[in-house]
Amino acid sequence: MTGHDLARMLDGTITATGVTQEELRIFLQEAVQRDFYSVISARCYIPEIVETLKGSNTIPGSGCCLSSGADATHIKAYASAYNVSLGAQEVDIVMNINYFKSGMYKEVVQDIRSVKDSIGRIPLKCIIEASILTDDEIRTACELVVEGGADFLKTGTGDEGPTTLHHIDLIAKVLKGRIKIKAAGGIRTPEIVEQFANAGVERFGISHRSVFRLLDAMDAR
Amino acid sequence: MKRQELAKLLDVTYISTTATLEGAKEHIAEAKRCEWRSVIGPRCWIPMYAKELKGSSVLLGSGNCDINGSDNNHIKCYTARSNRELGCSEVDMVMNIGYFNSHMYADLIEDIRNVKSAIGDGILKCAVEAGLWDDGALERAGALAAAAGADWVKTGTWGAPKAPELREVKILRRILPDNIRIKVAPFSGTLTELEEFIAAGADCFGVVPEQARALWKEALDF
Repeated sequence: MTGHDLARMLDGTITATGVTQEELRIFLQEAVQRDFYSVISARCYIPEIVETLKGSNTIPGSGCCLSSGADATHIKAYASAYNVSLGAQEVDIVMNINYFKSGMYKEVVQDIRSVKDSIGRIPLKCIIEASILTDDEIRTACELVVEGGADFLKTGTGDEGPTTLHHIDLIAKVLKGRIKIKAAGGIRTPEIVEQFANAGVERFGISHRSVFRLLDAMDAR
Repeated sequence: MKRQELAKLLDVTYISTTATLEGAKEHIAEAKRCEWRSVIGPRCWIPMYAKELKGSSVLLGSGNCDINGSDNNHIKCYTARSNRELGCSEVDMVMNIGYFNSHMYADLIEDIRNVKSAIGDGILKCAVEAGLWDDGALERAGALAAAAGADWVKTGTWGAPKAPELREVKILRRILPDNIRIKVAPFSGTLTELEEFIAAGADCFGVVPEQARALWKEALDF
């Protein structure tokens, strides 16, 4: 894989605390130049991102909730629809992990389904935070995400720990291609990217702190 | 310090990623038993918290945004209003730190002011993430939050880069009008340290349940 191959599978994220307008502007310039698939940033900047990416090959995405996914369902659905109305072309949510850890699986599915219903044809990626789940919990989470109608299962937020090849193998085995896989969290080397891609990952979420170094490393081999 | 006095200084917060329904019920029961000043739980269970706390002296609070305050203002206001309608009497928000770093002060003030308007007579606490700033920047952040109408200035969030410091509280107390109160969070010190923060100007403390219990044990049982 080349850097450009990865770029076309990439959601470049710049969501760290305190990101400035200027940092975002520079990131967007580079994202367009390198042909990223999408960019996800702080939600207060969505209108600027939409405007800047107009006419490029890179689309604006957005998150819609807390990193625990614990927001009330109606807030998640409203925020998703609002972000789409501003021009976001994909939405990333976090499964309600509090519901999940409480065994409230029906509520987990309803939560995802409500967000999907609120955004219609827009692709929905649902994070399960694999790094804090057991293998059995990952299997269950995969089924709930499919049932909820998400288009992608996303492995993690990056806040709770890295995604491993074991996670990807397990998730791919359970999903059997029913929905796509996005890997995020701790993806730092070309070897990991290729292992994950070979195991079935179709999208990568990588932060502004490491993404350009990684793309360069892929081209330098 | 007596336990009754301590209890009225604590906003006990149970919002971890792995928080469960069972844990939330225990959180509520403990809050009623100890008469904490307030509780903040996972937002999806606000209706349960409101129902169970009805008739008690424990206030119900909630957050309305992510820990960097970078949500769009429309959603911050929508969430705050919804939480207020569901029974929260207080809302803890985070100043938009990206706006602050970008020197977008008018946008920052508008962001806070709109949330304050959205919650009507509700109490607004605004976190300024003091651990990120030098003295001058902290003065500016506190002054902006006050100018925008926050009722409380809160030192930080659960994502704070370091523990709150007495220096930060002293700065905030010096520059804030007397009617604006100060919440220290996330607080993880001893009862003696808590008393030092009070002497420096703190009015309440954001703590996790384990920390509340540790302080409770230290306080006098009469």
